Amino acid sequence: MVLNKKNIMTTIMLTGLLVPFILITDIFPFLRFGMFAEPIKKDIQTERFIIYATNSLGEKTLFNPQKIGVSPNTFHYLCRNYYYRNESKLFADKLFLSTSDSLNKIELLRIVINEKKTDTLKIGVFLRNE
Amino acid sequence: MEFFSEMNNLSKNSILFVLAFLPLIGILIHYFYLRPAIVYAYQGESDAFIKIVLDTLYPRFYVEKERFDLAFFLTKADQVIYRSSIVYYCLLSFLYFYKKKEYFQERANAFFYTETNVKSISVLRIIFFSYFIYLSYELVDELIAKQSLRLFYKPFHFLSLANIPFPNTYTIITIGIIWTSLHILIILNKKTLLCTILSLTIFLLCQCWTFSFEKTDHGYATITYVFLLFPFLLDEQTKNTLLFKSWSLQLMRISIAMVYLLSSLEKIVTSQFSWLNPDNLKTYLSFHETALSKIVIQSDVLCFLFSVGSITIQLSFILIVFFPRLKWIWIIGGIIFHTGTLLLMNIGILLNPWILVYIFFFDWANVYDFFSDKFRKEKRFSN
Repeated sequence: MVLNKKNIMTTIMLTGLLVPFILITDIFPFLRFGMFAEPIKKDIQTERFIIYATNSLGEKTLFNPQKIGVSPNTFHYLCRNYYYRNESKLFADKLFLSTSDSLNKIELLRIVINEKKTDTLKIGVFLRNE
Repeated sequence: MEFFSEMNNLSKNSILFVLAFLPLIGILIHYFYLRPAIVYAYQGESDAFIKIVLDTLYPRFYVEKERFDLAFFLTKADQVIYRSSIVYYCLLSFLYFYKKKEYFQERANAFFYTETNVKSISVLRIIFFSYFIYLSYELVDELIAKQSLRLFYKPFHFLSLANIPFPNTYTIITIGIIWTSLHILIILNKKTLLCTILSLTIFLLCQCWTFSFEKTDHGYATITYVFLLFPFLLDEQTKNTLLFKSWSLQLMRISIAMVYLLSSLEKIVTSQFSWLNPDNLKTYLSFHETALSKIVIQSDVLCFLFSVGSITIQLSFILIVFFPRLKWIWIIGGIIFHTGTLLLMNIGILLNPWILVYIFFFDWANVYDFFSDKFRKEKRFSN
């Protein structure tokens, strides 16, 4: 095997593609392609996070992250990660600072769906400037 | 002399024997050190080495350990061992046949080159970077939208090492203008190689910024691999005659096909075909509900057929590099697959980069000739 530009690049590219497959993790810019690979076997894989927002007029609505230009998926990941790191209060504070002043109160809920029922857990109610 | 030849053969066989049993060491380390270490890490008592490994390679562990039981992580670790063994033995077999069988060596060498021509690469360059004008707009738009989340910014990989902050709107717009100008220069074939490398750098940087909100997006995977190799294709083009054999173009094709292959293997290795169970797709569809998915979700047969179709396309896509004449089977299959993902799960965009990269499986010389003839005729007419 000759050590030329072609062989070096071929090796880097193929290794780059195979290593994430072996380690089962994303290594940018070579990524793992595990999207939707795991079959849904556990209830926890169905969990969703929702937020009820209350404005200064006392109106309560389901918070839509797209209103602040963020995709629901990205927002869901953030919500979930802060919750599992026990940082929901920090999440709420950041959310208040990221949205308009009219948002006064948020209620964070975690929903898990299984075959028999839907479990809802109220993570917390957070107020602006609390 | 015969003695030395025999000794030589004996030592070669010994090396082969050692190489064949080398993974055993990895398996022993796994069972006697890594598995217990995972149990400790799960209980929050990782040693320094495991902590570095987790922080670097699997930071999601700290969130996922709250969501899943210990068995989930032990199975994942076992998978790493199975997968590395599979890859190792495939590579070892390849090297063995490459050294031993002359015919195999010739075929392997021929495999890593594809015949192409300068005209085709010129058209590829124009299509690819015209598309990038659109894609850069999409990425810049996404980064501007993420301004509202800047407090949640958590620098990703090298952004964190280099301590690079999240850019403000003006910086993003400036980057967008520079980026588009680079694409125009590339299309016009001015300072092409330099502009391509700069554009690639901006592309990687922008992706890093978008991934810095605790979610990695795989939407740009294949186009990133192709882009990483594009400067080499341009370099080859300038150093060759009109017709030549290209390794970079063939490597682009292999990389695209490998993404599909690894994606399907991931599904099979992880779920052993229980992934085909209609309930599985139903649950995923319910997460990403669209008008069409509401209908599909009602039918077990449709859910099963869509799952089988997806995995068949992904698993067989690699054949496109071995049977280029039959490429339309996988190109049409891939277009249906990605359009289906968009319609059923609202994942991806209409001008999908996964579909765009299929242009690298075609020869565009005829298109070049058609337009250059037309241009020549028009010029003659106007003169």
